[in-house]
Order: sequence, then structure tokens, then C-alpha cells
Amino acid sequence: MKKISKNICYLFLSFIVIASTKTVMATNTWSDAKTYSLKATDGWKRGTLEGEWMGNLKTTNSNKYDVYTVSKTMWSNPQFRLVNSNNVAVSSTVTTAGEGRYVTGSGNTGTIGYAYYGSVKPAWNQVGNGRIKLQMKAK
Amino acid sequence: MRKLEFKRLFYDKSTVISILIIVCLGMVSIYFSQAEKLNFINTLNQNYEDIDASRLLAVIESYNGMLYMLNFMYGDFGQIALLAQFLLVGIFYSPRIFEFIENGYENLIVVRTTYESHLKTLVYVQSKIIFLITFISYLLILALSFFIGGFATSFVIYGNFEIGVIMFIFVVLFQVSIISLLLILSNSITVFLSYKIKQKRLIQLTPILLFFLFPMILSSIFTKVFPPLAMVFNILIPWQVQSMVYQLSHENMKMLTFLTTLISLLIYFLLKKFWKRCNLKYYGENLI
Repeated sequence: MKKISKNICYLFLSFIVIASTKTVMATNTWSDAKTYSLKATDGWKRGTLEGEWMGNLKTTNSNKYDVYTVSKTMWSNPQFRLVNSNNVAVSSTVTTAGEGRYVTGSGNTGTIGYAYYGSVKPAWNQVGNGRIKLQMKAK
Repeated sequence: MRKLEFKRLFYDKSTVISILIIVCLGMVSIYFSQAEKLNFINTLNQNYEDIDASRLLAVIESYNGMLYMLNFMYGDFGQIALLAQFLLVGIFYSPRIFEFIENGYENLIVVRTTYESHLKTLVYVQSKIIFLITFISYLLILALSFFIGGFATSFVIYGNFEIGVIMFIFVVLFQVSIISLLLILSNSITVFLSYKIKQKRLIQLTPILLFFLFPMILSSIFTKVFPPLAMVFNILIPWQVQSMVYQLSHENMKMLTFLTTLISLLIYFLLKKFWKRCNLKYYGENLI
């Protein structure tokens, strides 16, 4: 048992080292912040409380995208993906971060010069209703 | 005694039930990953002018066994599996010492050995079995992922990380270890705490009530009233520790934020020590 605990400690230490050397390169500009109101039973949702879709232009060949969580009222973290104007998914899904942090999603298949929008779905374990204010970079 | 207890517990139907449930959840996760891949293939066939076909093709090709496994470990079904494991551990293992004491079997054991020694043996054997069940389940899901999704020969892009085969094996082993650790700690705390609860059904539900429902409800309440306290309870939910690698690979996580995730494990360790001492003190005085 002691040996197992020791091995687990080594695993932790390795991850701490990886975390400390990690650098994040951010480019482009963030979209305007928009608020999504989510019920636990909702599916993918593009509409925001402000009335406009959250989105911006793709400006690079990157296959990544960023989503910044400005604020949220639910304890869980909703899912996010990029969609085109036809509401077709153009990226892989990513779990949004906690307040004041951003996540990087992958599988961005958009084309430079076109606008892409954010689509949000509540986490399966969301309790009741909640709101989340996000910003995104289609990159 | 350890060997005997191990055989009795490991070759029990509870082991098969636990592995089956986790593997079934893994299979559902693989199905959804496969469905996501088919959705992208469908999108490719629609020829949208604002979708880069070559990049979409690369995304479709990246859906292999490695990504299926990662999707399970850090997706919804991985979280459901963890919840199910907490429930199963509670049902099958946590009330065992309480049952021994209730039906008088413990009195026979303390004639040959001490209560402390028996308690330690029981927790040790249960911990070993919890690890084995998690390891076997994840190994089976891994095999299924590779069987359905195909073997990966190149890197998988996962957030900010490019995960190769060696890194992938390391990540899976880390995940098995961290999940086992969470389960072992929750089971140990419940076993030691059982002298206070004194009701079998309640002891069986304690891992879920104490480690999921309690911090989830409090976190939900305090999100609207006092957000800093909500964050503290949020950290205590085992899903936060479970998603450590996901957060590390997808977020611009600061070192301090990463370390706060480990606080819950430290709290669980301290709780385990505390309740163990209380349990031994209580039965040291009350067990005949």
C-alpha cells in the first residue's frame, strides 16, 4: 500500500511539473461577451439573452478556438462548440472553464474570412436553471 | 487473513456487477463518439463552403481508439461512471465492518486478532479490489475503444496537448490511479464513519451523499449567495479531481488553480485519519 501511495505521489509531482511549464499563446481578439440562459433540459443553444448570436470571424488557419468564461451562475460547466450560419457543428466539443479562465477547443474546421458562432449545451449534471456569460475566438 | 478476505470479496458477484456497469457506460460513450464522427462525415458530404474539407477530413481521421478512450475518461459518461462507482462501493463494501459488528461475527474475530488489525485488513483488501475493478474496467473499455475506433499511429490533438501513444498510456494509468484513490478514500471514510451512522442503507448511500450531493447542493446555493464559498465546495466534488488532465490540457490554468484541485484529496486524507482514530477509540471502548 505504501508503495502505491509513493507511486501516486510521483504521478502528482510529474503533473505539477507539466503544469508549471505550460504556456498559453493567445492571439486574435475576443468576441463581445454574450449571456446564455440554460435550463437543465436544454439541447444545443445558439441564441443569447442579448438577442444576437455570439461569434466572430476566422482569421487564421488554426484548428483551435478559445472560449472565455466571464461569469456563470451554475455550479457545473456547460459544453461549447463552434457552428456556422446554418447551425452545423464545425468543431469538436469542449467543456467551458470556471469563471475568469478560458479553454482551448480543437477540431476547428472553419475557413478564413467566414463568421462562426458559439453554441452551448448544459452539462448533464446541471441543477436547475443558470446563466453563463462567454466570449470566444474563432481564431 | 488478507488472502482469505481478498478471495471472498474478489470472487463475489459484486466484482462482476461493478465491472459490467462501468464497461456498459464505456460502451455508450464509445457509441456517442462514433455518432459524433458520423455527424462530421455527414457534414463533409454536405459540401458547405464555409467548412474546410481537408481539415474536416483530418478531424474525422483523428476519431480513433485513443480519442474514444479520452472522450470516455473526461466526458459525461466518465463522470457518470465515477458516480456509479461511488454508489457501488457504498453498496458492496462500506457497510461490511458494520454488518460484522451487528451480527456478532466481529466478536468471534477479536478473539483471534485485534479489532484494529481486522479493520486495517478489511480496508486494505477493499482498497486493493477497488483498484483492480477500476483497472480491469478501464482496460476492457480501452480494448473496446481500439476495437471499434481503430489503433492510433499518430498524435491525437486534445486541447493544447498533442498526445502520443506513450503519453496516452501514462494518462490512462494516471486516471485509473486518481479514480481508485478517490474511491479508496471515500470508502475508507465511510467505513470508519459507520459507527456514527449505524444504519446499513444510510451507510451504503454515504459516499454519494457526502462526496457528491452535499458539496453539489451547497455549491449551487452559495453560487448565488456567496461565490467564494461556492468555489470551496466545488473543489470538493470528485469530478473536479477526475477532470484534472482535461483542465490541464484545455485550460490556461494557473499553477495555483491546479494545486487547489489537489486540496480536496488532502481534505479526504485528513478526514480519513480523523475518523479512523474516532472509530478505533469508539470500538476500543465498546466492542466486547
